[in-house]
Amino acid sequence: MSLSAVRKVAVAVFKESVRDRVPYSLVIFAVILMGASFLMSKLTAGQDFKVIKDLGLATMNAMGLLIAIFIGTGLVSKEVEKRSIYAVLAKPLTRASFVVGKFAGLVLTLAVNLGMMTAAFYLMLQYMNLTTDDWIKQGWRAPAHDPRLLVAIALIGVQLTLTTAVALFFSTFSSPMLSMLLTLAVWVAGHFSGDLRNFQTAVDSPAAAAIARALYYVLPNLDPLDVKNEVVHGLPIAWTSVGIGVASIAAYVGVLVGGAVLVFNRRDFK
Amino acid sequence: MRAAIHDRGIAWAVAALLVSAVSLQAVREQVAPPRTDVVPVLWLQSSEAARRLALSFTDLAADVYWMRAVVHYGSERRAPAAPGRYALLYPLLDLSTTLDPHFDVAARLGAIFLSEGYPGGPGRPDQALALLEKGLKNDPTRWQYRHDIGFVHYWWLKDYAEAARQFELGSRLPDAPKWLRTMAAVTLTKGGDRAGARQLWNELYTTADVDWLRQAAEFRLRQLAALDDIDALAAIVARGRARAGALQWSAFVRAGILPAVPTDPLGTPYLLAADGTVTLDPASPLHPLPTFEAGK
Repeated sequence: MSLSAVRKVAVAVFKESVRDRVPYSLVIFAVILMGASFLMSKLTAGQDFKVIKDLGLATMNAMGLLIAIFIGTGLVSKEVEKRSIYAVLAKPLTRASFVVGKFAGLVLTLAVNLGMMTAAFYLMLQYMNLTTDDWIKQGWRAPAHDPRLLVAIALIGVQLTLTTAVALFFSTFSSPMLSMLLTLAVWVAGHFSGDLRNFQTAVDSPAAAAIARALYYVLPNLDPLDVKNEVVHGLPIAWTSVGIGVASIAAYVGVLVGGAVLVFNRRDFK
Repeated sequence: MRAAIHDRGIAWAVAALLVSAVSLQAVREQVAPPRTDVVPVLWLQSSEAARRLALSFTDLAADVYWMRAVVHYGSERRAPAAPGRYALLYPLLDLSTTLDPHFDVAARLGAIFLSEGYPGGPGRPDQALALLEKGLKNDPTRWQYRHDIGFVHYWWLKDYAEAARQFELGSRLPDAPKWLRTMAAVTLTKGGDRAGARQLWNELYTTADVDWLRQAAEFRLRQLAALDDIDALAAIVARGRARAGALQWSAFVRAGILPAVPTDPLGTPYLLAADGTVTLDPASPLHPLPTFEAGK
């Protein structure tokens, strides 16, 4: 697998996402934030700052998720459907470089998107900071330009990287629609892991509880990476849990991308 | 050229259809106005179920329920009295504080909404206490919850011993202000006293970091000022009724006893009854005034 080939594929994916008007999501993000800030001030009884922070982080998460699922699931299958895969495979490019490049390209797209949304988010917070009375600011549990927001955003990025890897994996052997459903299922399961862990409290069957406990360990757990609440309320972050969570997600990403390469290597396009 | 004219025609047709669609909406609104007595529904009754369904968007869902609670409280306050009024207030606040366990303003302001007496609120200090106890369980080191629990006991339940105990417990928590310990002592010695109540609301007013909280404190301070006014005016009436000649404010003004017809802090004139008692006009926004133990 050549690094330069991977880079070329990644850049091509990034350019294609720009052509596909993915950056339009940034405009939607900005409009949602600005529109909400005006409406919220009337409905939140003074909690507009908290709501804007929650809304900004949730929108970044949702936008990224949509991009990762909709583009990720078509990364390989679209090439197969359009039969452009034949032209790609005819080039001096290994299948592994192709798959890894596709993954890196979408991660790059998501990173650029998140970076630009973060800049817009901080601008919005700065605007609120300038237009809010000092005595109200005293009640904010975290400052307007809290650098810890970047931690929450970076961890959203980690979750999106995993979602991209899942989408890519399914994309190598199933249709885009099925891949979307399966990727969404893995993402949902990633946020239900607490319930899987405590399944024995809900059912009497020890076998079902054991299966649920096994699934808890096998499926990626996304909850430790969700620190939005801690950051918005200025509460301490459980760094050890986050660190182990990031390491485990890195391992899962390796497994999924490696699995995608293995499946793609074995596929017969004749 | 022909294609350009054709496209322009389609654009005009689209614009005309859009205008007619909007116009038809407006006409329908006039001819058959939608029902305004739509009963608000809480689709999700279980806050734990809501927390699970919200996945990683629990904070945003908490904000949505908080806004619903604010809108519900505001609209029910304005609505005519009817059974089931404010019925959704506690469930909405409970949902919001379960979805975001550290949403302290939802618990603190929510407690003010809930404990407010009917018709200004549901008059449920028990639910207010439940909400605050839940907040305290999630954030046991926040003195503000102890302060608010003490406040509900003081103002609404008139349980001054419990109020003092809560203030005392709160004063031991990190970052608690010094006045909280003083408040505990004042509550024990001056429970049910107007001066003690004024001190309590004054502290709340000066330390409030939420506009609504400050407005609530300001409203109570005005009510206390109205009570002071009424006492002072009653004394003036007792002293000057012979000189004024008639039990009417205009007579007191003519006699130079009062400079003008006295009004409450929001500008509504006080009422002077035929027996010389001074009261607040029931039409005043400050009505009804709080009551204190006799002689206090």
